[in-house]
Amino acid sequence: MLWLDCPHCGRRPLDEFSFGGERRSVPDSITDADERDFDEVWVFENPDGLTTERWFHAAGCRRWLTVRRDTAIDQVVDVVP
Amino acid sequence: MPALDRLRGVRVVADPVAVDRATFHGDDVTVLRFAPDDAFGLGAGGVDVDDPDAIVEDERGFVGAWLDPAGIELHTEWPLPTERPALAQGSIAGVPAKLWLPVDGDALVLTAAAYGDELETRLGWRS
Amino acid sequence: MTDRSATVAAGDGGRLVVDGRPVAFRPGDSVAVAMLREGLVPGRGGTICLAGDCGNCLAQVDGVAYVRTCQTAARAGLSVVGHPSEGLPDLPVVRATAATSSPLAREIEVARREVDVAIVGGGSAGLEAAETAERSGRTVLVLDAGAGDEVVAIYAGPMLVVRTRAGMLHVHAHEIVVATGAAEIHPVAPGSGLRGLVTARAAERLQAAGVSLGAAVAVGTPPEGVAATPASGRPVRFEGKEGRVRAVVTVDAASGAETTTPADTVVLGLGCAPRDLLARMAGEVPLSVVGAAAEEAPLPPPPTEGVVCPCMGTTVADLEAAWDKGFQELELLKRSSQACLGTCQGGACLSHVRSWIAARTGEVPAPFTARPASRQITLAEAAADAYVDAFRRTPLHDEHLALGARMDRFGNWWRPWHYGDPIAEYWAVREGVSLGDVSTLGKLVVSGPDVVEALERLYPCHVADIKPGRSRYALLLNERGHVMDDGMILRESETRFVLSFTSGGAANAEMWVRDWIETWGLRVHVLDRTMSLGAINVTGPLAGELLRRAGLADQPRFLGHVHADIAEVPSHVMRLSFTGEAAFELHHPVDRSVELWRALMDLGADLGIRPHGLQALFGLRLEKGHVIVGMDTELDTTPRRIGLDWAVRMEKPAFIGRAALERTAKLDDHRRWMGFTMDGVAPTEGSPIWADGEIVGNVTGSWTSPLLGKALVLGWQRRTPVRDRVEIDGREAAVSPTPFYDPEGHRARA
Repeated sequence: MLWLDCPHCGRRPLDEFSFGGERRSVPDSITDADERDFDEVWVFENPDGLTTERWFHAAGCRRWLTVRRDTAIDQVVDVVP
Repeated sequence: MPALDRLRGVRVVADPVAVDRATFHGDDVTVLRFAPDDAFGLGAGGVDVDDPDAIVEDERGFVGAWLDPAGIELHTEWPLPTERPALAQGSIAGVPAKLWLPVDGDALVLTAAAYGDELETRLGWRS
Repeated sequence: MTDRSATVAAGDGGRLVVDGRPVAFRPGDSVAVAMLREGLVPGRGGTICLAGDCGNCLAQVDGVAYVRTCQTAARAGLSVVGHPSEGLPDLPVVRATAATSSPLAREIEVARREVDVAIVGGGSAGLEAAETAERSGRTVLVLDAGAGDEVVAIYAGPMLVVRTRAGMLHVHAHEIVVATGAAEIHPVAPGSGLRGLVTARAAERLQAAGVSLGAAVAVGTPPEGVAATPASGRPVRFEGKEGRVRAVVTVDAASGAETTTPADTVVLGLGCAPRDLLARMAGEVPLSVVGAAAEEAPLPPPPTEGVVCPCMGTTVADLEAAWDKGFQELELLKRSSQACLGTCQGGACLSHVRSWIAARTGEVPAPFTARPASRQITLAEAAADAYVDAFRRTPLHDEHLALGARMDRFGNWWRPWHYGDPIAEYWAVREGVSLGDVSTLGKLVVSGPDVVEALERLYPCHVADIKPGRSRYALLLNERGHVMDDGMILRESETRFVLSFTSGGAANAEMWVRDWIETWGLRVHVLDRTMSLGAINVTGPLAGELLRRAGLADQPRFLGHVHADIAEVPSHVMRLSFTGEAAFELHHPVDRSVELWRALMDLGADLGIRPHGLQALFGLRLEKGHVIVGMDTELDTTPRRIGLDWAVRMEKPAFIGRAALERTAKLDDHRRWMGFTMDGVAPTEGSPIWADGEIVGNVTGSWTSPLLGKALVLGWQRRTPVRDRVEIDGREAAVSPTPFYDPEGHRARA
């Protein structure tokens, strides 16, 4: 099981957290406002590699963490405060 | 067998700096810092906090028991903190709970009253 | 764990019970060795390795099947029952437990360790690695199966799951060293399933344990210190009688001549294969393999006849059949022929299968990825660290039980389903006064200079114009314009609000609110009061009278709310309605719920007060056509589809979901949630809704209305234009406007 370093509570197993989805970003190449909205809501990055995602420490402080994870090896790179 | 009893105190959510400097009213108050902006003054009757929008509430939602923390460690997947004092928060026996470890003496295990029966059962405190 | 001298746990000397017969053992014996000394052979036959590498010595030990007897220390009184010669061993008898939220029995203790380096294997390579790591100042844990610490799985983390004599051990390591050595190769030839075949190392161990091998014949590399007649050449056949070996037939590689050598025991020194299963389980964790486990040993010659995989009974002919069907790759061949799928995950057969493939393709395939667990563990051992969900209890839980409630689980809470007579509970609400426990509703306090700005962005309704002391019904939408939850926005002051949410949606709603406020960087404090406040819904035409008796003289108008003492309990009194009748929700400190509930029950005794459970509540709301988000809605439900467009103010410049709703507003709506009426009793929830011989929707809620005398249905119709008449449960149903009851809402406002 993966462990996350909660900045408030310390290192805890993943099942104490709820997944909040990936932090998506809209490519600069999309300039139309409507298309940017669409991309933001519907298009996931789902990279084979570094991804930034949100996790909520449901069993602890009940605050959000932003986690960078390498999906290729399923390892947490760091927790961004 | 230990038993979880109702805890009374004051909960304050405010700017972290204001929480740092908050003064809880009462002779024997233990301040449990749940998050930078969130503290529970266990045993407090009120609080002075320098934030006009602070949320200050009588907090009756927790139950707790004082005990030797060694018995709790069997039920956590994470190691207990080694420094004292410390507040540990996370799953204890699969229940969202917290553990207050003072400088010396017994520790306080606490959880929301809604989870009290479940936690007591899982810790083997009731049949 | 660091006691590296013991091989198998020191037995105390005594007797096992094997198939009902006492079997004496000596200190240090494993179950397998004790049985062999008595002339009994554990398992169904085949080569015995005494190293835990194969499944040839499995038996049922103390009620648990598939136990490797060679890895099980003999203990006085231990019960060993052989697996049946055909079919599967019996399942153990499990104690019946009540279906409650109580945890699984935690009879197996889970210990946890955190170390810098975990070393799997206590042989010379493992100990060398341990010394090196210790010298560099790192903490080291050596886990040796022979000393009773069997590593059964390695997961990401990395985390090792270890079965120990005391229970289970979960080790969090920064680095793992696999030093598990090499396993001896089993023979593949006709007769390889006979009893009386042992590996060279097993023969040495048996000799040391004082077990007689009878007339032993050694094939291949002979064992050290064991008297055995050498038989030259490769074993091609084992001959036997009544399941026991009598002779081995070897063939000389040069001449091709066969030699038959009579034997009581055939000792096989056929070489070794790396025992690297755990290394292949670990994926991308920091792991190194040392010693014999890291050495690519020569493969055995490709098998030509006989059983390749003793666990699954896969023969060379089976491999050929699978290969001819096109499964010409190790992973595919494994799945289709079942070779390597047994309890040892290829411990006995992988090198043979690789060799067999190499002979066909000219390339030696890499070993496959291994999966946890590498050893048979019991469900109890696997679940020793797992808990079922913790269900919450409201402060009135015991009160409900005392009133005879049947409790059920909803939205992670125990809630009263009914108190014995849901129809009487229904009438108490419609005609008198009733109490409902709504402590489970989500309750969030938000406060701060930017609070109005935050709520205007979060909600699709207007917020700024809600006056202190007033409230508004609100939907919570996601960015796709889909309904996530609903509840009330109650304004307490210019900069402070209380938000309520559904019982099941409260946790997500809190996450949602916190996420956005943080993302926007707005100055808003958030406090979840869901479990700190109890809430009692006082509802019915006599609710106002009851609250007057309880001390509430100035009663708030519909959608108003005040702070007042009710029966001396400080309460936040909210005037709203889900039941269709006048209703006051009393939110109060959770330690005073019982006191408040009892006072209200006493004060309302002569009004015929009784509590209502969820069953009555669902009927009451159904007559009002109120949606229950999550029960009636789907993941892609827009407000328009459930007739709640009025709760969305598109004239607002921005709110979450607005852009999506604007886009979808241009599209046709292909499904709608609506009301239906029909004669007779209500159809089952979930029933399909038919039209023109097609399923056009489903029932999300239904109720045989005692007041209206017919069945009321809420459900989906997935087509446009919608039909006025449909068929449900084989009966005709007519589309009906909602609410079915009091459409003008006079009663809720009364």
